[in-house]
Amino acid sequence: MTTTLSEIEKQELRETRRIKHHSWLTSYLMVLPAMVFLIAFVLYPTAAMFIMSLYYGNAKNPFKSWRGLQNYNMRQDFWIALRNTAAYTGMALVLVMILSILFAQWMYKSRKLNNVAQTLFFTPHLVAGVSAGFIWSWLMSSQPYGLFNTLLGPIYQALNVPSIRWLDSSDTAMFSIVLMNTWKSVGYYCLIIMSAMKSIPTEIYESARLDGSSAFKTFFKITIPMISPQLFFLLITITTGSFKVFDSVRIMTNGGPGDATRVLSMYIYDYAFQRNNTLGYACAAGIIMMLIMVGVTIFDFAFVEKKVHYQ
Amino acid sequence: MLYRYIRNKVQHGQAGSVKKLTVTLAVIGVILFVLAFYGWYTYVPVKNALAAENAGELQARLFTGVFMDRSILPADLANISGFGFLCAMGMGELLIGASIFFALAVIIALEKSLAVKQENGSLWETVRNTAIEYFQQPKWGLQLFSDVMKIILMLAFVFPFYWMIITAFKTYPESLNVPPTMWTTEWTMEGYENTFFSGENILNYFKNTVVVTAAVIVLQLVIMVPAAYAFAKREFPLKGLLFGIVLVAFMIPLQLTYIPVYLRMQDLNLIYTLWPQILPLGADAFGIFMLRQSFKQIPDEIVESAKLDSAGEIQIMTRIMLPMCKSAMVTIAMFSFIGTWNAYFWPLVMTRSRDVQPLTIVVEHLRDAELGIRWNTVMAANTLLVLPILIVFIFASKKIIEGFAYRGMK
Repeated sequence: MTTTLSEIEKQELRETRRIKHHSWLTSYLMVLPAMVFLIAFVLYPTAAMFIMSLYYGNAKNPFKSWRGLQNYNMRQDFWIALRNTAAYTGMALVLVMILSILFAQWMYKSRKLNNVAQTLFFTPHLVAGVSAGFIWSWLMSSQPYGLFNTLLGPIYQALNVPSIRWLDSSDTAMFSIVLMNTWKSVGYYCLIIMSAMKSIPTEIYESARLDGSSAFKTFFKITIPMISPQLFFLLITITTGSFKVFDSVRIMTNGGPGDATRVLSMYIYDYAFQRNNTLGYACAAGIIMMLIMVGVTIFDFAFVEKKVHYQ
Repeated sequence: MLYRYIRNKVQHGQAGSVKKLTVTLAVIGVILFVLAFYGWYTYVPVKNALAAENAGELQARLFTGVFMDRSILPADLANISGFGFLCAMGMGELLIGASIFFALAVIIALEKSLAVKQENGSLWETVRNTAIEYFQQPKWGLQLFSDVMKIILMLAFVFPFYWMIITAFKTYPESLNVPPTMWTTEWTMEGYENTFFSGENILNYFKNTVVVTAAVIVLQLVIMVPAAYAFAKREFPLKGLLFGIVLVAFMIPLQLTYIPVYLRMQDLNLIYTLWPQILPLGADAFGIFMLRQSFKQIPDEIVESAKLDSAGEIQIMTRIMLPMCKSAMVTIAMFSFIGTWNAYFWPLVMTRSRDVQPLTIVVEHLRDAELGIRWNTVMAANTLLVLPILIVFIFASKKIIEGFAYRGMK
């Protein structure tokens, strides 16, 4: 006769099974609400958007008539919007990356003043894009009462140049918006880089110093490689964030002057709700925008991430 | 004396009572401030009405008379509250009282933090000692230069907020002064009066923002916490696939999905309610992701031993998981508070009537309302939008900064 488990052992086995056992039903009940919301408000709309992009229609009747892929034959102004978005993204990347690394290097050491500075630099990040946009368009006003031009007035006079027209000139409008958003977000990115810098072991710096490495060389050979995962995070976040920019542009210039600051998300919004029968076209533009964003992310992960040093 | 008193309390292990004192003082300050605001809110329409009529005699009787006999007011203001008038009469006193209480609370909090750190000397002595130490360090000149530059940069960063607040207190002509005045020569509530009494019912917009924000926070926690817990601690078929959905949803921005969501809300006749601003934000993929991380950090043994004590699922959730993940949940709630309070794009595309729009949009209406932008009015409305966030930040800056840093590291 084979060995049988004693009553006590059986009891124990049942007990362990009860503890390890998870009822599937309960698990599904726990996940269900979140899944319903994600599918209803993220996945389904994405699919619906693709289907609508094949039709000709408006908000009352999105499926007026079949257009197929013709909606993907983009109009001239789409390329302007795309170019503007790319210009914004490029400028934001360069400006925010450089400034946040510089600021972080300058004030990552734990001191009272640095802590206060971190807090103050971070504050604009919490404020609504609408408010920030209003405050800065007031500061940048090219009317005589505009504060920036008043402050820069002596410089203009000394150099004998006309005053900058900030948001009112198609040459500077986009840069002005980038400037505002840099003010708004640099504190946040600086914070991320700073916490990475703080976690670099001091021994590395110590041995670099003993080897007689210059501060400059230490920064480029040690600090930058050590914080590269965070730089990579910045690259992705700033790129995708810049592609979605809307609030500040709409408040500060509303796409103007001319088409100089009409970015993609604004372009889609205009075609979706402000014009007649272009809903399908707007959806097509949205799908293209999403493909670009996903493409950039995949590109970053495929090529840039290889160069990133993970500890 | 205050300093001695606090130090005594802290040394005898009664730091809690000092904290209570601080909180009480701050709360009294807030109450006084709210009363002053209520007084102002009652007073302005009356003042405007009286200015329009032949107000000489009425003006004289305003404060003594109205409180007891409201019939001297124009008909549409006759049912104004007497208590409001009481507050209006004491507006100055209330404001001074509020500032005294706030100042006391701040001083006590600072002294307490010094006492807890076991530093000797009062606030002033500490400042002096720090200064002495500063000039004893090597290369203090270089350090001083770097620090001065830092302070200038800090001031430049907060300057836009200063400019917003000070512009809101300027008169319209002064706001257009050339060159701009850094300080205001004549304090006025004109900007705020326009904001509150320009035909836009700003309290309604304010209410919308508060309701939407609170609803989103509650909804997100109710939906996301169980899901994150299941993903972190339980095994079930298709778990990988379902979590894959979360990851995919994480990649798709709201800016792209609004068109179908809007159309569906229109079909359901919800577009004139607050629901379109609340429901679509119910499950945030990133939040699920982050909560899952923090649930994962709780050791399995704790859950198992709880089950040994025959605790049910709900008990495990409420008694073990939630208290241990408090900080992650507070962070999530904070993100949704900030995000929803500041939201502009989503309400813009999801609303068609002014009854359901939030504060961010009314600021835009105020810009478009008149010929030329009345900057003092716009900045007053802006201040109302920014202030709650800034106040929360002042009280929880450490927590908020930690939360944002954590988000960046993941």
